[in-house]
Amino acid sequence: MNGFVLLTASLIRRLLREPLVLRSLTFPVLITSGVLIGFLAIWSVVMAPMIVAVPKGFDSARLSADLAPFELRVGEFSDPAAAVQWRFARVGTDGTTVWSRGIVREAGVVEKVLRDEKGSRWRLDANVAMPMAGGTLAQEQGRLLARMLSSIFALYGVVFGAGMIARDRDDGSLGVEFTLPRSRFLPGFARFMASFIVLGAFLVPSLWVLNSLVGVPDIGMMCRVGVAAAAASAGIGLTTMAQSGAKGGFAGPLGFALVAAFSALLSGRLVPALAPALPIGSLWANGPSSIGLDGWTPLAMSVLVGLFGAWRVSRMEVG
Amino acid sequence: MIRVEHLRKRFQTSKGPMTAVDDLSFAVEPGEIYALLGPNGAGKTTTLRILVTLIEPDEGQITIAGVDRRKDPLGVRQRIAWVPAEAGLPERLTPREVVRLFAGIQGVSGANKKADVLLERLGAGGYADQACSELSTGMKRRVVLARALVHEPQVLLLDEPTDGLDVPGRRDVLELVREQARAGRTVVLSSHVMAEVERIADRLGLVHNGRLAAEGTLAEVFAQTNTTALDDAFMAVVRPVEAAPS
Repeated sequence: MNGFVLLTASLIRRLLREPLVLRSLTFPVLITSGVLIGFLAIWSVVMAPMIVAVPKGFDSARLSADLAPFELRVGEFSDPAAAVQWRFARVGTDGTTVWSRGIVREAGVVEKVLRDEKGSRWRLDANVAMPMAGGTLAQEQGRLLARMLSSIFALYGVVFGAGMIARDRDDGSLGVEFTLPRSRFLPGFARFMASFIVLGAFLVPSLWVLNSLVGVPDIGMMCRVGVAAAAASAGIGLTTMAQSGAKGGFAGPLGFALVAAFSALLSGRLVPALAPALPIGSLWANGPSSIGLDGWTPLAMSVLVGLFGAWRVSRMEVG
Repeated sequence: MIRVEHLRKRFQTSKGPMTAVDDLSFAVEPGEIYALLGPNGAGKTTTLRILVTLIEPDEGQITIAGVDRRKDPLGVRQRIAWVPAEAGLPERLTPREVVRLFAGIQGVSGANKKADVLLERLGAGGYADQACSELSTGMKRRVVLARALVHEPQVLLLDEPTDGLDVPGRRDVLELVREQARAGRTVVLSSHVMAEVERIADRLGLVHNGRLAAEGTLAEVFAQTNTTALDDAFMAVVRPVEAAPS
């Protein structure tokens, strides 16, 4: 056990000392967050303030009260339409007409309030989330981003697993580990666990950053499913590289492993009944967590994939 | 000691089955340096890889330090140290980390201290905290030897130990190997450098096409091949027609 811990720790240390590995693990969330924050910054400059322009002398007391829950203030302008055009206000109205630049959500809010005030027969249900299978549109977007980020880590998993075996096989260090008085299972499983820990340690905080920016539904489950996908992919990388043998090269087995991992990604869509249990397929599986997609089963399955990979590595002839 | 009897190993290649080791037998006593000498592809490295349990033989009996390799490979691994031709050093770790790791995995008591002392003794203390990727070939050889010796093995197996080294580096490594034999360890090394084998080996086996063509002390090999120099003995084995006196 001590040997396993020592070897895993040294493999983690090696991974974390690779500048390319660190960059690849941190860039996806940095780029996603940067783009989101940059977009919000530009949006805040381009978009007019949350003011509804009304003509001077307009009786706006009721309108102000009705708009307050939507964080909109009423401002008086001599020409409300011009105020909207020159971005002093997001929406303008004279009580019967609503002005906005392009399609603006707040215009719908103002229209709803005005229709309600006038007792219109046809009312708008503004600011109500569109009903969708599995949550709202915002939740679906958050889930989509989380799945994409996890898919990137799943591809990293393949490269980690395959790369750790290929590099150490070629430079002789795997052979030296096989001559240690320990089970031949140890080097492969230590590599799987090192990949599992490093990928998980970077994926989980990345998903939490996304969650804080856009909101990811069932974030705990998404973390488990994402880590399971990344870890199982590492297991696939280990397996294919071990299968290729001593002189199997790198590109061929890596390509095979990538195809296998990608197929596993699609399997969640192709076989929805099995999706909750699949370590990579569960990532893109349909349906909400209420159908049993708790994330623990794929996580356990990913360890099984890793155990299989380690067993394949233990049977590998080196040199 | 090491006893190898009727060792055989075949590989499947694209051109069909290839016999890498063919009925090879030899024995090495404690404190002795035995060199497997032969051209590239003669089967030296395959033989060593079988001895260190990296690959399985098709036939043959191997006993290392009294342990049957087939019955107890783990027991064999406890008694040996393997020094491959490639350094096998993780680039991102330092020599100190590598040697401490191997000491720890093998359950050496006082692993860290022992690793540090060994690195100093082998002249690698000065660069023990540099990344292995920054070391020269000679420096790496010393680290590899420290890694191999940290659990005090009874048997040391080295594949082309001076490959890629300059003259001082070669001399240092050979002296370190000689020291191990003096300490009572059984040493088997493979080489195709004749001067090196002449200098260090107590006995040698001339391997060609997987077979042991001649074996013994230098004098015995000369007698068996009807030659007076190792170069000639080598050629007599590799190209018997060319080497034969006209």
